[in-house]
Parts: sequence; structure tokens; C-alpha cells
Amino acid sequence: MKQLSKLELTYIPSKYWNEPLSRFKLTSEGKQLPKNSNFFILWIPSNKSEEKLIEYIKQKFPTIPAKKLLTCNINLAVPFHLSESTTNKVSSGKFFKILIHIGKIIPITPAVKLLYQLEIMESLDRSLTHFSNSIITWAFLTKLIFELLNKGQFVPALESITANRYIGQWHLLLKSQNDRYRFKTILSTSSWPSFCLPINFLRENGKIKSNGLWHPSYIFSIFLNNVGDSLIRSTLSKSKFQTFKEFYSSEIKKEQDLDFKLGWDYKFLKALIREDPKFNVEEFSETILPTLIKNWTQSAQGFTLKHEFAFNIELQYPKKPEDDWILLFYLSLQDGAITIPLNDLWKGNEIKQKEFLKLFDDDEHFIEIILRALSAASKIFPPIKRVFLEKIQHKINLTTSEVLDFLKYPKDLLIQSGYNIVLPEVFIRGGRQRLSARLIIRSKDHKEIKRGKSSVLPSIFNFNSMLEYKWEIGLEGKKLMEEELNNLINSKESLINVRGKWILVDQQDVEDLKNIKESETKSYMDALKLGLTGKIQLRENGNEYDVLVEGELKGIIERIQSIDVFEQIPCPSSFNGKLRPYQQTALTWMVNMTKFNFGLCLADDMGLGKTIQIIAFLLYLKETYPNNPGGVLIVCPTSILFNWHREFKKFAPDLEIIIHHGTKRIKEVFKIPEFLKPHRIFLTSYGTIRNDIDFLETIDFSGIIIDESQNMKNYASKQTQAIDKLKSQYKICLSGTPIENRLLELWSLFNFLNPGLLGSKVEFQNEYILPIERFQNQEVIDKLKVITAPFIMRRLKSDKTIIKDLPEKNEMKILIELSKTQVKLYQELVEKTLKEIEDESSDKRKKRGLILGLIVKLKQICNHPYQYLKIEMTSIKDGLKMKEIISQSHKLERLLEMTEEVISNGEKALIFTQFTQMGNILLKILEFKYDFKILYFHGGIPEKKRREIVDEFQLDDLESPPILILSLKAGGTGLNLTQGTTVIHFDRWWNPAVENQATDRAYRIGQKSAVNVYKFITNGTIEEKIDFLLLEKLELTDKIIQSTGESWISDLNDKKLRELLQLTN
Amino acid sequence: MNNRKKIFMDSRKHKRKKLGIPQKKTELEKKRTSEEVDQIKRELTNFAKTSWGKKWIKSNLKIGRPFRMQRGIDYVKDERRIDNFSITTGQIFATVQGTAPTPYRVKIKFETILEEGWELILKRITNKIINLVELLDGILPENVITIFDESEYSLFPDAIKGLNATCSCPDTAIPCKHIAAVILYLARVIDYNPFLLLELRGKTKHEILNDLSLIRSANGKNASEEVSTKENIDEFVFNVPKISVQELSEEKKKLGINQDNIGFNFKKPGKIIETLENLGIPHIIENKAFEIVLRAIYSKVSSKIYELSLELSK
Repeated sequence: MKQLSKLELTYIPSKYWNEPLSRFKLTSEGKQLPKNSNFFILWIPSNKSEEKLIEYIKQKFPTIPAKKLLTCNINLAVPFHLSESTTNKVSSGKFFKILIHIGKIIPITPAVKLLYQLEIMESLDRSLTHFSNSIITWAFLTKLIFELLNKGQFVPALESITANRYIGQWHLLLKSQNDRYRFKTILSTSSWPSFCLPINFLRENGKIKSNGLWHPSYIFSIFLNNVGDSLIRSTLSKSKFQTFKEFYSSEIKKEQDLDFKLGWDYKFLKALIREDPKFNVEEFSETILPTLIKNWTQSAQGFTLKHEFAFNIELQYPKKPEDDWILLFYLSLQDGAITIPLNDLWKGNEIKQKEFLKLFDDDEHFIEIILRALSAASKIFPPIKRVFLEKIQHKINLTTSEVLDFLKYPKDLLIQSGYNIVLPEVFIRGGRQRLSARLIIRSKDHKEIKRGKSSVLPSIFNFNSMLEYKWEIGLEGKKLMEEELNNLINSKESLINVRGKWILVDQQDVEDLKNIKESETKSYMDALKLGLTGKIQLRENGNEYDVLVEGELKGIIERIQSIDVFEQIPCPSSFNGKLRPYQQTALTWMVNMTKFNFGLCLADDMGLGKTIQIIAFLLYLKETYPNNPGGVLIVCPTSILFNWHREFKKFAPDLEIIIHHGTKRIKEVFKIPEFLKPHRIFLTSYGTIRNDIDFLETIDFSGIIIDESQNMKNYASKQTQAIDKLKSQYKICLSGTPIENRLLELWSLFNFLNPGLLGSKVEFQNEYILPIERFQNQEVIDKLKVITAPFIMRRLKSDKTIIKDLPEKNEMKILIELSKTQVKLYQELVEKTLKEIEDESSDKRKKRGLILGLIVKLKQICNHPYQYLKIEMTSIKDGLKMKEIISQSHKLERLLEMTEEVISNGEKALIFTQFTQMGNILLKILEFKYDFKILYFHGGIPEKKRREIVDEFQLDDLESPPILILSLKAGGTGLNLTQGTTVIHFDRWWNPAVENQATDRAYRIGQKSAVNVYKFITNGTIEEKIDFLLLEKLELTDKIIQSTGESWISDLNDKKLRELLQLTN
Repeated sequence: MNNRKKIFMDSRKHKRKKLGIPQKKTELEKKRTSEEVDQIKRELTNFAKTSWGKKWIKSNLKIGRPFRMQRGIDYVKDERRIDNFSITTGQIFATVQGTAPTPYRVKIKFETILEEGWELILKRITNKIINLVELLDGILPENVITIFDESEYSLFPDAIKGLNATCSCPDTAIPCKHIAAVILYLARVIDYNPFLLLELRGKTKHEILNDLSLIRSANGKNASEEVSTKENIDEFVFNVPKISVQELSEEKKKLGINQDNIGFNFKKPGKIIETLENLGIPHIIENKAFEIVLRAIYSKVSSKIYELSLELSK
């Protein structure tokens, strides 16, 4: 299959572009690059157009001044299938083709800044910018550099240029297992464009090819070192690093006086700090320096990294309290299956020794590593010297005070340098014997939520005042009395023997705990957050302490963390339908969570039936708590207001529904009691809320339900702020988009649902958004999950448990109201035409012609006034104009809401219309709204191009265009469009077979997911009426199907005709 | 090299005999000379930084005259003069640029220790593994010096055996300034790498470590170096590690590796930076400022990068 060409990023070391065979040439005039410069290029495989490249760059990186970047030509190695449409596959297996490409040069500094800030969280959302593998790879490496620098994992080095000329360079260290793992992962997931420099140039039939590429691990490590080095230098120079100038002032003076007898330490540091890294060996004794420096820095390099064994240092508890402690030394293979005491390396089990030796090139290397490791360890913890004072030992004795020293810093330093430290249980963090502290949160009043019958929903709003916070310091699982604690705090020793047991008192613990204010109260949401994570930190990077929740809050937390313990809620008896098993689950969840007055988000995929789950839920509340005061407010986009209404009528005829929208809505203060009637449901739109908030915020609703809650994603918008003011006992948001991936939206949502749970916006940004979106910090991701998971329920239609409950083809009709403009046009046209028909009643043929013409025109009005009025759509450039166009058709409005959901879920949609002109309007609108390409398949498209459209849509790639508009006639048959999982029929064709044919473009062999089919029907119009006729009158159905088009309508008598055509509501 | 000469400094007696110049001095002259000599000796000795470096110079001063040695110091300080310095077992070689256009060739030979001798010495050295640890760290422990001394193969030349050195210069004086320069130069070299003294006695660091390991030859190493493809005129090969196209496609097949689970973590740096603690400061650096500046670099970089990681960009 044809590959999509993407914008790629490649690091070009000076060594490559300086080689003439790379055919590197700057095409920007009058510029030159310094010989030793490294840089990145942005390029597109098999592209020869600079304009295309600029366009791609602008699209992916709007902040880069694409035109101003220097342009170059450069040879890059690309796989054969990409190079040309060549069918010659004979030699392609072993070679890469070398082709000249156009590249835009980004110097290292801006590139690194850009990559550092790039968000790396993987998202399926097709409307977000997706970057190619090469860009992501370099972003990962850049972030790794910053982390290593932050941790101080770098060492100075001298690199030789010629015999006596060197340059100072900082080398980055990958020390820990995790460092190594990440580097390996980046390495093995990177694809060829990130390192596509040919290793050689072989000529074949006038073309050049290469049988290999520069090894990525080589390119990546020179990148790490070069960029790490330049970042260190620039950081020092930017932050006005004075220490060097101060402490070497005499040497600096000497240099200014042209005295060349400078200390090598000065010269060395200068080569590491200043921009110019030159280090010339001037005294012969200095020739040994590079070796000296190499030996010196070796000890910091975390030796186990390079080898597959672990160097273990184990502290053993004294057998009797008066005995010494023991420090044991042994090696083990990574899994710990084979261990060998240090002294056995010199004599002992030969088989084991051989195991170890396999890891090394030669013996002497091995011995050197072990000895250096010991030497490095002894520098961190001097008593280790005793291991090698005489013959090599495998253990040494330690006094208690030495153990104390060991546990202070050396232990951690050793771990961080790659030694495996084994400690007795006493000292393991969180171990029962360690001094432990925990925060206990308990409800003062142990009143359980009433399980028995009550006619109102429980309210726990004044929970705040019922919470009590208490710290408990414990030892060996037993609580310490205050006096004992004070003794502990006052004793200077941190390792103390209590009743024959050694207890380690962490000095930071003591510091933290000394200052705890027991009376400090936190809000209910804070308590909830602490309870959910079970951990509290008293300061940044400080120790974590356990949080123990008691009483009612404990019960709440336990229950909301596992749905299984919830009391099963049956489908309400008055519900006029059947819930699928997963819908039943959501009902159980909502009812139980609502009892605690939590705000919830039901974020099921589109098509899983969020509406009917809510209807069942509201019915259940009515049946269970008949007297619960306050109505329920449902806020949804205007476009589906009537759909909600219809669904309520269909599934819950018992509920009282009031449409709070338009001019007839309640606005008078004296009518407020209307809102308080139990279980009365008010359907309203976002716009109405915005206008009426001053009035509505005074009302205590029992519940608020926000449909399409992604509309609240912008926290600062008036609309969201208005909704945030609404008051109610419980709140439920409905959304079909994956909310957990867009963190600011998640915050905005929770700010409405459970205000305070995620902290303030700024706190949330620093604590969560930054580490997650930019650095994919796993700990933070997990923490956020623990806090938010109980309040979000999201099922995908691809979930195994869901899919078995779902029909493969899920057809839904969406009832949509006409806009004011449409109503006016519709009514005028019907009246005018009916009059003409009455005048022409004698001429059957003429009448028939008039009716058929009318129907087509009515359908056009239902779609969009522009279509009927034949207003030419040129490209839209103005957002306001766009808004106005959308507001004239709720069908269009709804369509855009649905595409938004589909796209953010990483899915694709087919949109069918029978009118080419409507197709054009949709195309223009969607093109304005989205940055990606919108595909349009219609009769006017030449055969060759049609194939391309289908291929492009069918490509399984995040950059493949997710929306395809099709004209029913041209695209309704024959095509295979199984990448689409949502089919939208924007207008109706009265013959269901034709519609089904179209639907089957997606719903056919090869489709791996359930297909959602939506049919748009405008309320009270001919669309709804004919749909009704199709359902109710089967005999007519046959007639309708047999006739082509709508000719049957003309056979109706005048009365029936009027009924059919006139707008009703 | 027609002026090749060989000096064999067996003893002062021998030297005096060879030179055949009786020296007479007044008491005052003697006193002045001896003060001067002490001064020169001190200056020469201080050319080396470590105790063993100094000892090397001192031992040589016992053989050659301080005045002659002193002439070497100007040479050794001039960077362009000494070149091609190499140490092989039992021999030092270097070229020294003198007054003639062609550099003179200097060779100093050392008596290498026989295998049996080494065995005894190494056994004694490894009775204290710390000897090796220190050697690897660039320190020559006193204990090792003693072991060699007691084995009658001193690491340093002694006055009785003299120094077996040759130089291609026409100067008949002993030692000529070229030899003196090489002797002094070596002092600086062993300052940094005392292992070389042992190498002069016949065993390289690698051989010594290898001998120590009682577990040798457990793995048959067969360095199967890939035979590089023959040079082709049309072919240019970058001298960098390579990944072949086959490997590349095999790499791709490795599934189950996922970028999703790698993340990055930034921490407010503490007072202690592990790398620096592990690193320590090489004993050879006497200037305290070095450590202070190095520490400042680490703490500056890690805290600045941390600040940067918190910076929001919008």
C-alpha cells in the first residue's frame, strides 16, 4: 500500500555533511555553515518541492518561521519502496537507495527547545497534531538529556582531535536500569528516518545505494553528548557562572599576561566551561591527562550498566544485639539466580565463575572492573576499604555507628551508582519496624448513610465539618505515646535499640513530624483525594506517609473504588425498553455514586446509549425517592434538544418533561417553585443557560445533567462559568470524547463536577499537566488515575465486554429541529405551492410535477437554507461567517458535534448526502473547521482520482483523513470503506434499500468494529412524516420502495397531502 | 646517526675514571657548590608531583650529576622538543629535538624481571589487594615499592647498577641533556600512571591483572572480527558503527516494545549529586579551586535545568 509521506526530522552530524559524497549544498544564497556544526533537518521522503516542505512545516510547527530556515540539498538513504514507483525488487532487500532531498535546517538550540516542549502523550485524536516517529524519537532523546542533566549525570572528558590537540567535552551518563531501558526503548522503536545516513556509497547503473545506515545507537549517543555538552555550557554562560572566575582569578590573570605556564586544571575547566572547548597539550607531562581523566571519571559511570551482573552489598542484622553488623559483598546475574561471593572470584566454584566470565572480553578486564567498583564504593563509604586491605574479603564487620553512617547517605549513593543494596527488613521503607507515621482522617460522627427506605436522596453536603485529622506515629505497628515520641525526637542517634530491636529513625521523618499541626483542617475534597491515593507528602520531594481513613469516609472510598461492591440496581419498572448489560452497570454506578452526592462523568463511546442510561437513571430516582425536592436540569446543544425530548417520550412516558428553551420558557421569579417540583425534567440548551444564569443559579436543583460536556472544555468561557454556578445535589456529565487525555479539559470538567478534587488550575498545571503531557511521567499518570477513576465511566464500543452486547450495526435516528430561518422558508414554500396545486388541481401531471419539485425543495431547506437558496459557497475565511452559516441549520451543527467526537476517538466517518450542492457546503465548512484534508467523493470525480480517495481513506494511520463525504449516487455502491465506523445520512432517501447499500460501504467484510449509523431527521417536517409512514404503514412501504423517488406522494388526496407537507410541531 | 654513542653509568668511580678530570675545590667553593647542588636537586625533584615521581628523579640524581640533569629541564619544559615517547616492556624510547635539525633518538633500557621473579612479587602484592586498587587509581603504594626493593629488582634505578641509556647526539657529556630530559619527562608520566614503572620491569597492567586472576581462560575468546568488504573505487565507507539493512528489518520485527511506558521525571536537586560524590577529585590535583568549581558546575546545571522543566510555554 502506498505510504503517506510525512514530515521527518533527522540529525545531521558535521562528519556527514562535510563529506562531499553527501552532496550537501546550501541552496539559500550567501550563507555558510561553520565546518563543525551539527544540525537537524526537516524533510519529506520523495519530495522535491520546497513549497510543499514549507507547507508541511507550517502545519506541524506553526511557531517555526519555515520560510526563513536555511534550505539545503542532501543525500539521504531511503528504502526502495519509497524512492520511486519502481517495481524492481530484486536488489531492494539489502540496500537503501540514496537520493537527494530538500531539507530545511534547524540549528540545534531552537530544535532542542522545540523538542523539549513537544507533548509526547500518545493520543488517537485525529484533530490534534500528530508527529512522525522521527520527530517523536528526537523529542524523547531531548527530554532524556534534560533529565540526565537535572540529575547531574554527566562527567567531564577530553577527546582527542590530533596528537596534542584535544577538546573538553561533557559526557552524559546512563546509569540506572531505567536510564538504560529508556534508551533501549527509544532505540528499538525509532524508525529509519531518524537515522537515515548512508554508511557507504555504492554505484549501480548510475544510481547510488547503501547497504547500511549509520547505527542509530551511535548517532543517538553523539547527539546525547553533543547536546548535553552545549546545554551545560550555555546554562553556565547564561546564568553568569562566577565561581570559575573567582577561584581561578590568578590563572586568568596569568593568561592575560600571556604567561603560558597555566595549571592544567585551569585549562581543563576552561575547556569545559567556555564556548571554545580547545585543550592543547603544552607540557609533555600533560599527554597523560586524557588517560588520567578517563580513569578518574570511570568510577562515576555506574559500572553495572555495561555488564549484565549486579554488584550486591548486603547489610545483615547482628545475630545478637551486642554483636557487630555485617556487610556482605557478592555478585549475581541479573535475575539473582546465580550468586557468587566476592572472594570466590579468586578461588571457588568454577562453573559459576565461567558464567560471569562469559560477560567479559577477557579476565583482566573483569578483575579491573571489580577492583574499580570496590574502589569507587570505598570512596563513598570508606569502611568498604577493609574488603581489600589484605586478601579480598566477602564481608566486613561494621559497628553500629558505622551502620548509622552507611544508612545516612552512602546507601543511597551506592544505589544510584548502580550497586544493588540489600537491607534487613528493619530499614526497608514502609517496613513495619521502621518508625512510621500516618495521617488518620475520621468522621466525627459515625452516622452511616441510611440503608433503609427514605423518600429523599441522602445529602452529605456538610461533611466538611464532620472530618477530623490526626497524626499517629507508630513503631512496629504499634502507636507511640506522646512521651515516647518526644524521647525519640530528642535522641540524637537515628539508629536506636528499643527492647532488643534496632529501629531506624529517619531524620527527615523527625523533621517533618515535629512540625505537624494536628488541627490543620482540609476540605472534604482534599480528604477524599488523600483517601484515594492513600499517601501524603509534607514537602516537595519529601517522604510519603500513609493516610488512613476511618469511619464513614472510609466506607465511601472503599465503595467508590470498586464497582463490584455496589448494590445492584434493577432497571426501573416504568422504563419502556430494555437496558443492555453494560447499561445496567452504568445505572448501578450512577445511582450508588449519586447517593454520595458526587459529580460523575459518563463518557461512553458515541452510540452506546448514554441518553437512555440517563433516562433509566432518572426514572429509578423517581421511583425510589418520590419526594426528593428539586427538578432536574438537562443541558444539551440545541441541535439535539428535540432528540432528547423524543427519547424521553419513548422510554419514559411517565416523566414530566419541560423544554426550557425559546421564548416560552419560564423567566419570572415568582414561577421558581415550578423548578422545584420533584422529578420534573427541564431540557435546556447551553445558550439558554448562558442567558438565564442569574436566574437559574438561585435554584436548588436535585440534579444537573450536562450532555456533550466537551462544550465545557474551556474553563474561562462564559458558558462554562455559567454552568459552574448551577447548584444541585448531584451532577452528571455526558461525553463521547476521551476526556482523560486532554488534561486541561479534565480539570475544567472536574471543577464543575467535584470542585477542589484536582486543586486549583495552576496547581493542576504544575502538578499534573506538565509532567504528564510533556514528560509522560508514569507516577503522576498513575496518581491522577487513582483520583479520577471512581468518577469516570468510559466504555468503548471496541471493548470485548461491550461488543458482545452490541449489534454489529447500530442504527439510530437523530431528531433535529429546524432553525428559525428554515421554518420560515419551509412554511412560505409549502403555502405558496399548495396554493398553486389547488389552482392546478385539474391537471394531474402538472400537479404531480409541482409536488415532486416541492419535496426536493423542502428537503433542501431541511438540510440548509443555503442549499435551497443556492447561495454559492466559496472558501470561508471568517470565523463569524462560519458561525452564522452553522447556526442556520441544526443538522449541520449536529454533524459537526458528531465529527468532533468521532475524530477525538481516533475513528473515521462517512457522510452521505443525495445533493452534490450540500456536499459542497459540508466540504467548505469542514475544511474551515479542520486542519486536515477532507475527502469528497462525488459523480464529478474522474475514475483515477476515485481510487486515490478510497486508498487514502482506507489507510490505517493517524494522519489519514478521517472524514469522507459521499454523494449517495456516486458513492453508495461498490466501494470498500471499512475504515469508517460511523455512517451519517445527512438527508433521507425514502428507499431503505438504497440507504442500506450506502451504509454497507462500511458495514461489510473487513469491518472490525461495530458500525454506528445515524439518520438525520428534522422535526415536524416531511422527513419525519415519511419516516413515520415508513414505520407505521407497511403496505405503503412497499409502494414507496417500488416507486422510484417520491412519485407516490402525488397520488395522495389533498387533505393527506397537506398533512404530509405542512410543518407541525 | 653516525654519532651514536653508548653510555654505561656503572658507578661514580667508573664515571670519574672515564672522564678522567680530577676536581679540586676550595672549602668555600665546596660549600657554595654543595649549597647550589642542593638547590638544584630540590628544583629537579620538585619537578615531579608525587612521592614516586620524586623518588624516580632522586634515584637518577644519584647516578648522574645534578648539573647535567638540570640541563634537561629546559628541554622537557619546551613542548616541541620531546616526541614519539613510548614505553614498551623494559624500554623507553623518545626523540628529542636538540640543536641539530634531526631530533636525537633516546633509548633507556631496563632489566626486565624473569617470570619466577614476577610470580613472587605479584603474590606479595596481592596479599594486599589494596595495592592493586591503588595502582588502578593512579597511586603507587609504598608497600609495592618495598616489595620490589626486597626482591632485588627495585622499581627505581640504583646507583650501583646505573642506567643503560643511549642517545644519538654528539655530546659526550653524561647524561646528555636529551637523556636527562627523557628521565625528567618520565617522572611526570609516572606521576599520573605509576603502572608504567612496573611495565618497564616487564609486565603491562593487563598482564599483571591477567596473572592475578586465578580464573583465567574460562572463556575461549574468538574475536571474530567481521571482514570488511573490499575497497572499491566506487565505494566510500563512513568509519562509524553500521546497521545493515537486514538488521534494520529484523529490528522492526521486535514487537512488544512500546514508547507509552517511558516517561521523564524532574526533581528539585538535593544537596548531594551522586555522580560528583562517586567521582571524587583525583589526588593529583592539588588546587582546591578545582573541586569548588566542579561542585558549582554540577549544582548550577541541575538546578537551572530543573527550573527550566517547570517553565510553562504557551
